[in-house]
Amino acid sequence: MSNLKFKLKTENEQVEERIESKETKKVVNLSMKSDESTESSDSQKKRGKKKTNKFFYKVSNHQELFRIGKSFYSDYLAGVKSFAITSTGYQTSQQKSILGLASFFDHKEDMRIGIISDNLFTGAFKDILKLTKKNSYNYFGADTPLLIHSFYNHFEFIDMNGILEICNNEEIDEYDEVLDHISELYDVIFWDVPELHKIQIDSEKYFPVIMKFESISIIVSQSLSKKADIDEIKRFFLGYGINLKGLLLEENKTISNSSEPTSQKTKVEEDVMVKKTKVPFWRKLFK
Amino acid sequence: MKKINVILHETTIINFPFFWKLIKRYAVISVIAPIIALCVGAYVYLSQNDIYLKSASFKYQVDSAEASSSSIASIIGEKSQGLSPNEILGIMTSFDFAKQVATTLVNHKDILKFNFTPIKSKDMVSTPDMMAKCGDDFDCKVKSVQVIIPYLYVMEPDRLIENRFWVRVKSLDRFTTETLTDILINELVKSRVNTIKHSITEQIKLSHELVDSKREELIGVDMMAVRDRKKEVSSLIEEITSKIKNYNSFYHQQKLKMTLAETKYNQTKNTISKKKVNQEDVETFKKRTELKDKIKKIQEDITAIKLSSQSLSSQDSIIIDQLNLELKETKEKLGKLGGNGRSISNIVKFLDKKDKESDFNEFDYKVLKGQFAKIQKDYQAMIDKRDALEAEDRKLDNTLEQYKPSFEYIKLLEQKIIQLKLLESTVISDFIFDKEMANVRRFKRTSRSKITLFSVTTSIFLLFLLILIRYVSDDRIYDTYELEKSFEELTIIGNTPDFD
Repeated sequence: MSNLKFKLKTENEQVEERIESKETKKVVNLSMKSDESTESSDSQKKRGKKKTNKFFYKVSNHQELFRIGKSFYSDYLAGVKSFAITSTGYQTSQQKSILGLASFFDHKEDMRIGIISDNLFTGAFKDILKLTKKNSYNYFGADTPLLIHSFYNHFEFIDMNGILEICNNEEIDEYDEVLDHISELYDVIFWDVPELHKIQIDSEKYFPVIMKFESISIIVSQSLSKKADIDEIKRFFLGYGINLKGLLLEENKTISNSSEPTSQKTKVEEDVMVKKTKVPFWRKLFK
Repeated sequence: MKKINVILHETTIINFPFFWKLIKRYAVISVIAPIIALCVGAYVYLSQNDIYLKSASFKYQVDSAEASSSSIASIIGEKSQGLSPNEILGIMTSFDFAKQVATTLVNHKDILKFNFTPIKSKDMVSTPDMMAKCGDDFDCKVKSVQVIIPYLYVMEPDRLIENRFWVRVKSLDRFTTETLTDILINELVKSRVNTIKHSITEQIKLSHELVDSKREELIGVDMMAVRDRKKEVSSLIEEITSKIKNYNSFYHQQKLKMTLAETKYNQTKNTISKKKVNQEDVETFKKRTELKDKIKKIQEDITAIKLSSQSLSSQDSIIIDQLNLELKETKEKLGKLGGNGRSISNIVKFLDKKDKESDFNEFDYKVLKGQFAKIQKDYQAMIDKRDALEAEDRKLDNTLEQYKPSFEYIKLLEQKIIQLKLLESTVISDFIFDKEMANVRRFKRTSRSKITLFSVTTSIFLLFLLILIRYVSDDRIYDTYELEKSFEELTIIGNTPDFD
């Protein structure tokens, strides 16, 4: 897989990566000093040089990311490699959390990180996806290529719908094997779990995906998520015997501040979304 | 239930920091709830009518010397029982009093200007409408007013001073309050005077009835005659007792004299009859007398001889010797006659004397005896008369004693009637109203401070209630604390990453 990544990397990207690496090396040394000591020297040798991730440094609450990242990383060390992130309908939050965790993992260790989402072209992934390089993975046949979006060799994005199409392709006649194979491509996979109602509507379709979840975390949006919704999600996934790792709280500030995307357009969209989620006071009274 | 547990605290019952968080969270409710409460309070305050209050205080002087009627009553021994505070308070609540006041009000020239609307009533009572409804029926008007006015006044005891009371009049009109206060004061005083007068009149009437009934009991007995006779008998007893006293000394004196005369008479008689002198003794007495005379003469002779001669001659001596011898012999003879010669002589003399006095003694005795018998008879007659008078006096005493209670009772009742009549003519009220009264005070039924306090309390309560309801009905998760409390079985990993 590392060879595959290497192939995907263009020369321009390598130059850009080097520049970033020079700029941020000192910060990495300061913030991740302790963790770096635990990092295996073998992996460094293997990659030749340490990759850097500008998204990690864009995180304003480093300590929080370190905290949750450490928790997930300890699970990873314990043998868990498939982490699902879900919420009560806040896809952007899920994506941001996945990006943060992927960045943390990417910094911790040179590993293959896969992000699978059914909303690659919206939300937080949307802008990043523009910077990725698309690669067609024809392992399942030339007629059914799987598009893999590689982001500077840090992590790769795969559209969940594409995977599901291949799974449900009768010509391939592979179902779980498709997912097994994809799982084997990466050391860690972050699942951007679709909204619950989508899964409930088409549970047969999503079942093989759910079965791949080894651990699921629920994002609770401050002052927006309802307890009943969280309970429903909890009950649903516990019903499949999936380990419920815990809850991630997304503060209101995060919603407003995190809506500072890379482009002005995205910002406007996020503002609209926040406004939509905000209920007028007079409605609050009679709610 | 978990939500309720979140808001509760082990020590302070309510988790105040969390509640404060809720207040900030539901800011709209937190602002609106107090505003609603304050608006309601302001509306309630402003929608109230102005109430006009006038208070008049009076003192009930039941035993005080300041009350003239009480003073007279105490002088004549008429002790007033006095009214209890409840009885005084009951005066104003009685129907009679209300009717009396209503009558005065209806007769008032400005009756139509009064506003009899009770302060607690929401509907205004129009006096002209009320009067017009009754037409010319005076009783109807009085009844209409009588029913409504007790809501306008009240009597209360003073909390600090004993026997002091307050009459408070509250109405929705200044004129009504002032006029009704004056009328109430007058009617209270009048009512009290009438009550006292009525009581005294009843006592006089009762006294007269008692006097009449007692006099009927004494119809068969002329108490005046008995009393006159009693006086007369007493006087006679006194007179005769004095007479007896005086006569008594004279009687005893006479009796003593008579006894003495009787004794003298008897003794003389006995002496003469019993003590007769012996002839021999008389002879002996005569001899002794002769011998004594002889001795005396011899001694005189001897002395004469001795004195006549300076020196005695032999003859003289012989004569003297012979005389001495003769003297000696005579003395011996006298000695032989014995020593009772003198008593016989006295007896003889005594008997002679008594014999001569015996006739006088007898006469005197007989005279005294006759006189004493007469005195004794008179004395006895006086004693008998006195005894008879005393017996009559005792009888009269018994009669008087028998009818004395009734007689005294009548006497006392007659005195009482005079006293009561005096009291009746001098009765004044024992309710002493203060001359100076406070001005009419205007206020709202519920004061501003009470409304404010109520509004603040209601605000807090409403705030608490609404926020609690809102919180319980709000299913959303707001912070880590709530998240932890709501999903105690789950781990809170942390906050989602926040990108710059």
